[in-house]
Amino acid sequence: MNDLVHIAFGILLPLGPAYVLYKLLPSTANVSGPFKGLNIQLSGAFGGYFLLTLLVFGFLASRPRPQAEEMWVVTGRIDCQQSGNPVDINQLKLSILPPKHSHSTGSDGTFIVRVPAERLASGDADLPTLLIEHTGHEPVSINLNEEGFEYGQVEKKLRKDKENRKIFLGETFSLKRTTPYQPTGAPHQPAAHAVLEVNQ
Amino acid sequence: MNTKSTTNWIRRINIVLLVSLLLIFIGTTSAQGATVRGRLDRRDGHGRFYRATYVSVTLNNPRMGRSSPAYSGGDGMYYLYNVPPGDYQLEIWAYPGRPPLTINIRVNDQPYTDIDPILIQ
Repeated sequence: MNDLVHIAFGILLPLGPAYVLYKLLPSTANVSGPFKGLNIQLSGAFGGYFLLTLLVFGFLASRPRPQAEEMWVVTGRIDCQQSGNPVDINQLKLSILPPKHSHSTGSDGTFIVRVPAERLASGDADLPTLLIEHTGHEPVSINLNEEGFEYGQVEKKLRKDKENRKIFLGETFSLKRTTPYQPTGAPHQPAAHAVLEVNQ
Repeated sequence: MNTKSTTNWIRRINIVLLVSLLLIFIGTTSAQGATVRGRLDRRDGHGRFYRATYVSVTLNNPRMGRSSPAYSGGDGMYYLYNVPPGDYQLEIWAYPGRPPLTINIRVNDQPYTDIDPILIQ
């Protein structure tokens, strides 16, 4: 739809200047030469109109296109290790980070999350991180881009169906009960801004 | 080859297989590491602390590279799992488009490494 608007705009817009040129200037414009395998020979206002159309289309084509966004579906299951209780849906929170519009449903610990992703120039989808929180349990961040094990993450079996844009979290995620956080009691730690090194 | 020597060979192969499986199991379990956890706070205009929620945190060191991101939850707590012992830089990506805030940490060979609360300012 957007492309149709652009094409209509590209064809109609040069008509104005072409009409002005036709009325005010002597019709000496002459456009000739090969174009896309055809030998073009145009003169007068229509030649000017043709040139302007090419210029407008060239401008439209050269604009950077926004990255295409697509929707993926992530399915999995959660249980609460140690407590042995079923997951309390009211205490379960699934977040997509960085924050984007998403939709999730679930019962008995199973969940389906619709996750927006951007298609990169490489052809891969740039997927966000799924954060699973349940009151009284350790939160789990799942990097949906990585299928293998990475340090910093829980061990996961993540399978991607790229054709149908589906991600399956192979095994049930067992959320662990939180144990007491034991900081030393020192005042807040100061954090410094990192200095990025530039390799020359 | 008689029956007795065949049986011996089968026994030897079984022992080799058993030892291999044991080594693989040890290798797999030793790949697991500590859980690094801590809390991120911010301060409002009146000097009161509040939890910094949904902030991305990574670990980085020359040997392991940068970890996958973990996000602080609604209580400001972040958890990074399976971290091998060693010295790391903890990176807090508090401001989009800017370099991370960093602190140096040491991860011990224990189930949990608790990092003192960090103030993001």
